[in-house]
Amino acid sequence: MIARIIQIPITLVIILCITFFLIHAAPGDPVASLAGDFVTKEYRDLIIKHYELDKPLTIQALIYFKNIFTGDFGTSYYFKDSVLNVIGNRIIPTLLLVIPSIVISSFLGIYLGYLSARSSTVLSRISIPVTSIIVTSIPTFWLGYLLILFFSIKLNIFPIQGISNPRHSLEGLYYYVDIIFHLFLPLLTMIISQLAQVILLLRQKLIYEISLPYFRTAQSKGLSYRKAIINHSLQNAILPVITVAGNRFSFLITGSILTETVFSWPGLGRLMIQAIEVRDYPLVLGILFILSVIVMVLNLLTDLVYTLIDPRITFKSDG
Amino acid sequence: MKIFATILLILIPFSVFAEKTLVVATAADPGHLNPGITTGYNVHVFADSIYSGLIMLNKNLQPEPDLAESWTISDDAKTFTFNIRKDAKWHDGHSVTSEDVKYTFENVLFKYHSRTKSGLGKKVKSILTPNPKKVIFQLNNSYSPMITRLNVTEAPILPKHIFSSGNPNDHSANLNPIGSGPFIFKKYKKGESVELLKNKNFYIKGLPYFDKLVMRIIPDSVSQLLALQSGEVDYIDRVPGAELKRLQNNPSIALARNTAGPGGGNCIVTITYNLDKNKTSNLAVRKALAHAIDRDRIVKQVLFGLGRVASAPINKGIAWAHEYNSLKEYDFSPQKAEDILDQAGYKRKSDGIRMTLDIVHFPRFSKYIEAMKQDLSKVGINLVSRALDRSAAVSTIFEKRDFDLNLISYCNGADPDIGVKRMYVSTNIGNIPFSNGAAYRNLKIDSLFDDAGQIADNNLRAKKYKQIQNILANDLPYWWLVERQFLTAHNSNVSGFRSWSGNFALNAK
Repeated sequence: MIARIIQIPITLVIILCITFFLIHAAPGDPVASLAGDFVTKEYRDLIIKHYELDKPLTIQALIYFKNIFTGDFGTSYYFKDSVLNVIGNRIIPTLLLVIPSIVISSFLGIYLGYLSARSSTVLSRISIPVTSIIVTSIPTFWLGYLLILFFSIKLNIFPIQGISNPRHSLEGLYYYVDIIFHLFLPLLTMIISQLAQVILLLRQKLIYEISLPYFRTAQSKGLSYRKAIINHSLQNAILPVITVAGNRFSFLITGSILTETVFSWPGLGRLMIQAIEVRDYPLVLGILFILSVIVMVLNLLTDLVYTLIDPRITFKSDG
Repeated sequence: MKIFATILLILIPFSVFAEKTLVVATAADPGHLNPGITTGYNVHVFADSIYSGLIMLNKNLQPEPDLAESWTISDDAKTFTFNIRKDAKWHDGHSVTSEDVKYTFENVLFKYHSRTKSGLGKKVKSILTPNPKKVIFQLNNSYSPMITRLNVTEAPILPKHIFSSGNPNDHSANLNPIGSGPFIFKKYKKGESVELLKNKNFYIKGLPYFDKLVMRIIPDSVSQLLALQSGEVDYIDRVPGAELKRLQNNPSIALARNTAGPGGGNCIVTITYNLDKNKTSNLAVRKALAHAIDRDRIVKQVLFGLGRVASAPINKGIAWAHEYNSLKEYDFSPQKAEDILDQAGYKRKSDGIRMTLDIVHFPRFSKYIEAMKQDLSKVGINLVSRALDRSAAVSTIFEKRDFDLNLISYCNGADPDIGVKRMYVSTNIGNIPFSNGAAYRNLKIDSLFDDAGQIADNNLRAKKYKQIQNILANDLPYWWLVERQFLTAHNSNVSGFRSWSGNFALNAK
């Protein structure tokens, strides 16, 4: 357990190292995006000197790491603000989108998966998984546009884009209600696109659990088919869903970019792509750092939760 | 608590609808709001409404008063005197003075604004400030285009009392700008929007009409259009040509075509030939390509009619310098292309291909490439495309010169000296993005451009530029495909947009 915790900072340093050299190896540099049009040699030299990009790469790397240890993640070239500030602004919208979508799609997926496993007729058993496969094949951005067309344009209930109303700056309660209104459609998009995975996963595991001997025992004890599932098999079947939920969180922190683009949602995914495009080295590395920390902490947490839920699993030391 | 909430519910709608807000959609995040340290479109589309220039350009790209209420030009076009408006003030109350102009040029523009630095930096001998409301530019040589380069996009005036402490690149005012323009900065929510409020003390009385200007960052063009249709947004600055037909039939949306915008004007989509490479250094190959590409089809299918075939190396929008017939000999004729290539020794091999050429371009130009691929394969040229993102493309083309062909939209600007000269003079070869990518070296052209820049009389200049275009048509270092128009769309309830300029919302109501 202690070993796992120590692993985190070491892995972080390695990841940052690799990314540092990778992003500097990509052709191009921040000058073109900072300057705009028609960059002359003197201008280029000026900018490069200003951001210390003329020093040898290893020296730059050392400077960067030295700063990291003091908590200084540098200033974004593009936004001219500290990297932590820039990321901090975008983390909350991202979390607003990711966390509810994972929680809701997990619960909903478990329920729908359970429905499809317990049904008596063949039709109702396959209708849910088949529908989920079809729905999951819809590209996320197309799904987003469909939802916009239906809910925003035809029904005129929900706003089309962004996180807040552009025309009127609202305060207090109205501000939060407004955000929830804006959140609805992107959240719906995210939930629908994740649902299938959970449903199919749960269904598969549940069917497996039902085939095990203990289920027959439970039924012979007098439990109905449904009761037996709910009391016993479901708990076992939920385990992979938890792992996958943790996994999805790490992916979606920046992976929700498609939804973010369609709905102009100010999240980390869009920020990451933007930063890479303009070669904003400090920002890219900063986002990667946060991402790596999140992934590693989450993996640790998922394992912990696992040991709590399933008494069969304990933290074994590597032997 | 309940009573309070109901009162709030009733009051808020009233207070909010009292102010008129204009909502604009644009695709890119500005990053910062200092238009003096970059020529990037993403910054200027926001910041040009906060700051002002000495003059502003009208629809025909002719100068009108902005910060300067009047000006005089000496007969030899070497001395330019501007009288700054008495009531021109910064948003924090200080008066706009000639010291601000002098400071901005010498400490900001000539260092960090790439177009103004390269275009005016060496030409300006000195800037005099005889009194706080009078500024005099003294040039080394005659330069009549000078005045067209003094609008807010090319030469925004920054406040000296704010920027003189510190480096303009890192200054906190980059995120909290104090300008002198029609709108005052209120808030910048990164990745979301920029909010601007009406400048009640603006020196043009009665303007702007709107109380609030909110610029929304919506990265996806389809989302922008959906927002416009539902009324969430009132103005979109770049509409893809494919939407033209559909929007034309929508009565609640008005469209406008422009040849200019905050990023530049009079743009020609141009193929650059790498004159240092084997096949493209052969004039026959260059001529054959010119005959082989169907430019009318590009206007129809790629531009959806928003533009025209380029008839000269200088955009028709600069009418006095445009040499109308210079490219006439290069008609669309695949047969001529084939003959020329046969005669040059590039015969078709057994697989029907004469040669393979690669073309580097930004991903957004891929439709042009597709059309070109089809046209060129008909005459036996296999075109291989390399779509690179902006940074990588710039590095590949201008730094490494690793290409046979590339496709770039070169914007001429209001005067040939601004955006045309840079493509052809031999001093602009090297790691200078968007300059002489072909590595074209012709001393006669160099001297003609120099001369034309220093003459005061446009008629005499026109003669030089026409001579230049005829030489270029013979040497063909580039191939000029089409002149682009930009499409802007807005809610038909609103009008008065100056879509060709940076401060597009000035007259909007």
